[in-house]
Amino acid sequence: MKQLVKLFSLFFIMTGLIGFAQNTVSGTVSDTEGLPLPGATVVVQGTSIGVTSDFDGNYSIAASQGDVLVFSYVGYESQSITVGLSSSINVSLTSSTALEEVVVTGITSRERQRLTSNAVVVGSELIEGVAVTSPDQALMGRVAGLRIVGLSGTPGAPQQIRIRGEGSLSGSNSPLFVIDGVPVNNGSISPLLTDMGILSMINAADIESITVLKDAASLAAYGARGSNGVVVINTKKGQAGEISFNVQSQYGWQNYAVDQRTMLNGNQRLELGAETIMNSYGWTREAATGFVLRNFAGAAAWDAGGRVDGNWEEIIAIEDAPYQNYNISATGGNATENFRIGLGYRQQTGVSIGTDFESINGSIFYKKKAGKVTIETNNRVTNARQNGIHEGTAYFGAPQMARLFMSPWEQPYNPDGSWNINLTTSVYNPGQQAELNLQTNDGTRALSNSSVTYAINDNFKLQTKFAIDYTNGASHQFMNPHHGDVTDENGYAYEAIDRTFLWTTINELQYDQIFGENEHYLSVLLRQSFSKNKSNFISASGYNVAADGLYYVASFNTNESGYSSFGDYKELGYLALANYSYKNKYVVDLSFRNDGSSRFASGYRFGNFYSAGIAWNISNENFLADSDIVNNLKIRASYGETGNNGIGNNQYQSLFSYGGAYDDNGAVAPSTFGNLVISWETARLLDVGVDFSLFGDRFSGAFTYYEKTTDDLLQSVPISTTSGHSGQTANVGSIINKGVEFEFDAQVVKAGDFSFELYGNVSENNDEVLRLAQDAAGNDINLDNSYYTTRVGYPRAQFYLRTWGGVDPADGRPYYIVGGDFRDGPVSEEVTYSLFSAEQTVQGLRLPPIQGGLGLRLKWKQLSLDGNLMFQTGHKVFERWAWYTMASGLRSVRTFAGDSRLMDRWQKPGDITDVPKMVYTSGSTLAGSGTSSRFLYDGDFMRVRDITLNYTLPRKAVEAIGFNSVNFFVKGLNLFTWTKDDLPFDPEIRATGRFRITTPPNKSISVGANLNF
Amino acid sequence: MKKYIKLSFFFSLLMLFVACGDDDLEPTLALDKDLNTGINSASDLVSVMNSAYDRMTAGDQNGYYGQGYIMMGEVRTDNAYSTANSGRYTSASMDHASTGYGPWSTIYRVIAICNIVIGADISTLSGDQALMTHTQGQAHAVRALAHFDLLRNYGQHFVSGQGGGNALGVPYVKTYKDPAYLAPARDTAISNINDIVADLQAGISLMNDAYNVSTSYMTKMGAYAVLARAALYAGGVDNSFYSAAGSAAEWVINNGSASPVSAAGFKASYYTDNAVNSIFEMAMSGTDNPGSNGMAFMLRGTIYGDVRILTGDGPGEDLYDLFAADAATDVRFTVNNMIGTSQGLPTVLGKYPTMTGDDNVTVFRVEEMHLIAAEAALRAGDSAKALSYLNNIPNLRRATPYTEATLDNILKERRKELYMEAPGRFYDLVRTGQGMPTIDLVKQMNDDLTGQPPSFGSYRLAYPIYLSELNANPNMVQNSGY
Repeated sequence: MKQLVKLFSLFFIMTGLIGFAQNTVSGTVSDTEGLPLPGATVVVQGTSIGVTSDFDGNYSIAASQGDVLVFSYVGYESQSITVGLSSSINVSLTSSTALEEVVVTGITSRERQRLTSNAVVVGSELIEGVAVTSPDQALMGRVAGLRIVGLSGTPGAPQQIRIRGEGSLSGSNSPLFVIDGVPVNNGSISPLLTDMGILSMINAADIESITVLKDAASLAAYGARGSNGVVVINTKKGQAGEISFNVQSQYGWQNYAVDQRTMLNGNQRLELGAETIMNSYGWTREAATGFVLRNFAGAAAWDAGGRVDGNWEEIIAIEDAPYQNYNISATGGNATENFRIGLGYRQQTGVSIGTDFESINGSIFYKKKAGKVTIETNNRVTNARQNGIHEGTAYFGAPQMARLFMSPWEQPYNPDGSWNINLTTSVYNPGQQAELNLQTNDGTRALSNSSVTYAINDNFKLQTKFAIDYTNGASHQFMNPHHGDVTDENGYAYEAIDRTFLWTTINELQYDQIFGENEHYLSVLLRQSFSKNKSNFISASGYNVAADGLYYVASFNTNESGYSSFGDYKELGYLALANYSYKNKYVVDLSFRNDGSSRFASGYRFGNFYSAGIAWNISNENFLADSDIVNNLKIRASYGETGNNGIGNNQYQSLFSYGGAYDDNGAVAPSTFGNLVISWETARLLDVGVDFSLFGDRFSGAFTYYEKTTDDLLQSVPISTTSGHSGQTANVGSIINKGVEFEFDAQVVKAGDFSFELYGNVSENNDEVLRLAQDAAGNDINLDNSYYTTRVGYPRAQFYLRTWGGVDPADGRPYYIVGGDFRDGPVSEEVTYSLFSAEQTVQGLRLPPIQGGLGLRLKWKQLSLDGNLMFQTGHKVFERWAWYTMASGLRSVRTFAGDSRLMDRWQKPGDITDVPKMVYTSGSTLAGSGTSSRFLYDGDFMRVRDITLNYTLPRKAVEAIGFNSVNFFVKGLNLFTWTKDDLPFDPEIRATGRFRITTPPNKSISVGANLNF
Repeated sequence: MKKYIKLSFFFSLLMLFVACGDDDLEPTLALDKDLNTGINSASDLVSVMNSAYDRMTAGDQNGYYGQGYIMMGEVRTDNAYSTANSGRYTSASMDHASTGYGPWSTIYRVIAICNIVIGADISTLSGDQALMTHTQGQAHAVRALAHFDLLRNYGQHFVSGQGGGNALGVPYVKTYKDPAYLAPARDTAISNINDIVADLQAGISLMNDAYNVSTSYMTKMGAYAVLARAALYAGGVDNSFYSAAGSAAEWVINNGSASPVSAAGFKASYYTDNAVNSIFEMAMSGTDNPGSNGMAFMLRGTIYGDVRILTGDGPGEDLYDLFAADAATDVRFTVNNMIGTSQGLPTVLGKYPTMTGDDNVTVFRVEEMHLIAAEAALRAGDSAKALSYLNNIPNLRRATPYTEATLDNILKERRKELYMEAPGRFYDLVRTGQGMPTIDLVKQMNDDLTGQPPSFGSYRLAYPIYLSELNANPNMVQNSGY
């Protein structure tokens, strides 16, 4: 690693030798009281050259005599100064009522006061160091109405994002990702039982900001792909000025975020095991204990060995798993030519045995302006390698499965220290599996984005953009022949290559004009885009390896088999946008988009989407212009239609699939039922909101009400399975999501060197199914299954379980409430002792209706402290696998392992408990652990997402050692978690609301430094 | 400067040409073919029929002849039980959740393929017309077998108070994607049986022995075997079917190419594909790799290995008790390593010899036909003929022949010959009006509801229909008791 850093440094210092002809203007930006304004923007008018001031308000920009410098800062009036003979310009900005922040929506960039939407922008300072696995992690708790959870704590695992709930039944509910104005692929490399998210291959240190788009005014421009929201990632560009270097380093330690449950130890297992026989067959404890020791697998050996439990927990968890992150970048140039190059390296050891992640990436941005033509190119390549484990469900041999299922009577090691593979249980030794098996995803992602812009005159601009998103995922699995799933086949190897190539071309004509004395501002954009995505997949596998130490399929010659697939889709879109504002008081936004997608049949391929937005900047009216209380007040509203085409390719066609084989001859079968008339899902969005800033900009925020109605839901409508198919894709059904969002930022104290700021957001989202598909008799086809119900008039896929009653104090039997929300007649309050006599009953929501974040920022001289917590409330989570671990029967004390909560079991008449008596049954029904509301908990939780203590070296000290700035930080992620129901697992659960067996989310502490020179 | 202008215009024009209309959005179909144009020739039709067989090899608990169907025919009986080692086949307790159980959709997926083949207008296809006729005959016979296997598990004819033959059977689906028949109601059991017989007769008349490839595919002999098994079972509902069972079985014995395997060759017949006694079997090749979804893995895998031979002191006889008299000689027992212990528990060794699951799975073999012929003869009152057919089996197994052909002896011999195979002990029990025998209550664990195994007539003899089917099909009716 050190070698690598040295190499990087050398490379970067060499870039310093490249000369750029330039004149430099420098100075300080401060407010009228003389306090420095860090992060103020300085731009050379008419160019794209821009810099931001540092912590002390200092800036340095390439400009020559006659250039006009525009200084701007959020909440302050902009100032324009023409460069004269002096190379030093100090400015003081006066506080303004107008928000001058520029918001990049991926298609346009516009001052916030000329927007009719409310986009949330998360800046780089909140991304660096926080986004440990992938950049979108930085959004956690920061954006009202956005829910993000990691699908696993395995490093490199993908995140799941939901913006304003879920509007689709079987289409995608994930937002669109846009990088530098171009939609890119999102998803994961996943032929194995470990997924690597392809967003993990975007270096967080290369990101300038992330903008989240949620409303009609901003989403309709994305047409058929906008309805689930859009996450716009803007990468760092070159900055004019002397070449400067930035070095970031971070080193940290991770552990499970939540102390997980404890399992029964060996003696407890014996005690409860004996009770199964005592309770079922009336034996004495002594006789029953003897029976268990003689007959239960592993008991005799454990007894003979002095009753020492195997310490599996120690093998499975990696304590203080280290991670490290290094980034070096250089930027510089002048008004007509500038660049940025970056290199990053990241290494992360997982908290679960057998997991780690490593990535290396490089990026280069270059821009050249010559007369009316500007060319710009932005390119990045990342290679990431993830070693993973079996996860997602209860795979024997998955370390996290063994935590819940391994008998404490089993020993991990033989007396000679080697792995014990002669276990008397179905669960494999996870230590041996992790050490000998391979499960690796190795991905390379290249993103290229180049444009040529031709400024026809001051008002017209023509741009052509071409972008490439290429992902090559290579996956490799090896399973050893000595222990595990393939001992009978003597080893197994699998390799797969998944290549996805997406290219996009965009042509646009932009027209901007200001009429009168800043009275009328008009901006029009016409745009055509076309993209084509193709993916190739090929895999091979084989069994029976000749010798140890061979890992590739070529050495596995028995039953070799190969598979391949190809898929593509194309999208064509035409877009027209218009934005008009009058004296920055009245703003109107209009958009129209025509989109075509190859996922639908000819004749149904094209759809039209539109939006209209209006805003009134009341604070720009004369009667408020001089107000000391109201600095900014804006009312905005937008309405529009956007779409969703998030279904698989070729779904409209009735297809024969040629993948099968019988007797080694080809077998052909219909794979889809087909429906020629499927088309887009359409979402109608309505947004109404207020943005405000009060008391000298000390208290600002936004309040929004929204409704999103998704119609023509693309869903696999269940059809009678007697047809040979389970569903037919069709456009039926309707869901409404509505809610409110509130964001605020308050400068509580601002005195001298000290400042204290509070910020946060809270949002509510509720959904209701308005329409579902109907069968031939005109009845709704309810989408019920053993966990969820989806019915008209109710939220989508609520928990729908039999209702747990409790444990009868008289005899220790579990009982249930008959219930039955949807039966004919009233809901029954009757008690039943038979699980299957109880009826499924609505039990609550999967997704939290209320969630938010709260943060504070303390600054005192060179020290700053940032803290941010997030919370989710009102939803339920279900403990899967409790039907084994919480069974008051043989599953927990004989076949697999039991949770220590079983020690509270009923023992004698009169015992009041919710754990039934132990019984001799291998099922779950009598054991009380059949699927019921017993294992459904309140999901409410609060988590301190990140705490950062930062120290910036005083400027004088820094200059003395030849640096521009130096700061050090200590950062803690997920350090504290509170759950209402004392959950036995981590509360960050994906949208299904059900616990999965994966590496749990991590908490970490890290230290780091940022150097600028 | 001029260079840049030229460049940007060049780019713009290029991009504008790239894409512009509906046709440009035509997707590529590299792996699949459009259904309406996918069948053009005799070989296409054969390939489609292959996927019916392929789907019959589905494994796992709700699978078909790959594992689930065979296991569930045995694990609910006095032959076998589930140790729940990996949590599989605990449904042996017969305490099914009312959300559904069993191979419902798996088997209807087989039927859908048969209906595509039967529905093809072969006169418009190129290639050998006779081969296509033969293939359509196969489809008729497989469709009959598939419906029979559904009827045995979902039909209400053996459940008390449901009307016997007039009780609900299953929808007999004869078309693919027929809009008028996408939400079929359940036919009666007796109408199912009549459709099964009609389909088999159609199959027999269409198939041509000249096109037989191997017993891995349906043949005329196979169709007669299906008829024999189905009619014998139907006799439990309406005893007029027994004679059809006998004549079909005798047709196979007298006219079929299969002959019973000798004592010496018995064990080898299980690792020989398409052995001499084979009538119809599922081809399993190395590339299928069923793993834990295969039979061997579930019978004696070091992990998994959930399904074991049931032994105990209960009132019923277990397999060890049955073989006790001829234990030293019977080639179907431990002496020939057909049964033995694995991980200390008794299990079936020889019938599914390789752990990787690349042995073919026998669905019909000729020995069963002798026992069907014996039972039909007995029921027709010809006990001499019955005894003769019955003793054909022990005579080839180094076992003591019977002195009398009783129903008891025939059922006993069926257990000894056919344990852990496709015919299924469960169906013998119910068609002869028996409840679940008790061997070892602790192991059988039929006790989740009552502590006792279900008696004959219990609603638990039929699986519950899936909730998803009930939701999607307004004409579907749930089975009694669920």
